[in-house]
Amino acid sequence: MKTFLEMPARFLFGLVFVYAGAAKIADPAAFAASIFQYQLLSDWLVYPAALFLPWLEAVCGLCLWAGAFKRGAAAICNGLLVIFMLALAINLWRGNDVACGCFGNAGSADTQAALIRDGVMLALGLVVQYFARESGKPGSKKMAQSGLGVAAS
Amino acid sequence: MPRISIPWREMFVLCLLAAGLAYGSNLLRPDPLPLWTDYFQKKIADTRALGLGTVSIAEAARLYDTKGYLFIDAREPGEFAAGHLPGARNIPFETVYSGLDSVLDYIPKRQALVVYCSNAACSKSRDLGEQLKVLGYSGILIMSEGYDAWAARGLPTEAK
Repeated sequence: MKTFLEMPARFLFGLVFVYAGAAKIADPAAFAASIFQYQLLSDWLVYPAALFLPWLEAVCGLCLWAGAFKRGAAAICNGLLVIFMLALAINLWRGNDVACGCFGNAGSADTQAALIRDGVMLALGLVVQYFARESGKPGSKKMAQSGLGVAAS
Repeated sequence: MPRISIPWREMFVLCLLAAGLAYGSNLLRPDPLPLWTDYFQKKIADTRALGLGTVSIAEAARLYDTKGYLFIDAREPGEFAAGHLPGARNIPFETVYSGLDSVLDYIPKRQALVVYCSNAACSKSRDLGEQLKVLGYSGILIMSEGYDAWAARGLPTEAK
């Protein structure tokens, strides 16, 4: 049951992050505008965040696909989702219906819909995190097979 | 109760890798982003590069008191109705697509204008200002911080 669920969940979760990251890597200036409209970061951090976050998403998504560093990748992806949801919720509370910018320009302009989508993603991410934790336990069979014992310690 | 262990080492490696790729890929871009630049100041510089002037809220308040400037609200009618500068005219940016000329009939070309939208993040004021310039208006100033900053300073507003 665990094997049946683990791979599809991890692949799907990774795929979404690779897609989201790639869309923003292609046009970092547009993503910088999205970050700025949230009005949460210092103006000095807008460009560094616009460059760093998409690559972090893409790298973590690829790691989830490959099954390497998957505990760390799942933790980062879930952390990012929590941050994105907080940012959306703050702007919803402020009355700003910000365009999410989650998938570059193709993202939804509906803040509530974006919040719900991120919530569903987080639920999936927690499933992935749970399975990654199981396989990452020191001394577990899967961990010994993966050869990531040192990195995942 | 399972013990939660956070894989800090893996997370650090992934962050480092992403930072390296972000930095390297930006260097290779034909139009690299400036890494350490104030985004808002860059936006103002871009607005000025279009031949438009910019004013801070304090400067706009001083111009407002002179009564010599027409304030133009580039937001949507609903936002305008909820609150705007007293005396401001609502010319939603979307008017650009549905005949801006006819809306501007009553505004002489020599009229000094201050255009604003919601906040520092919106670009409707700059985009509308650019179109007004194309139509022959010359004294155009953009209040870059927008209506929200004006209202937050306790400056005069009205709703209708």
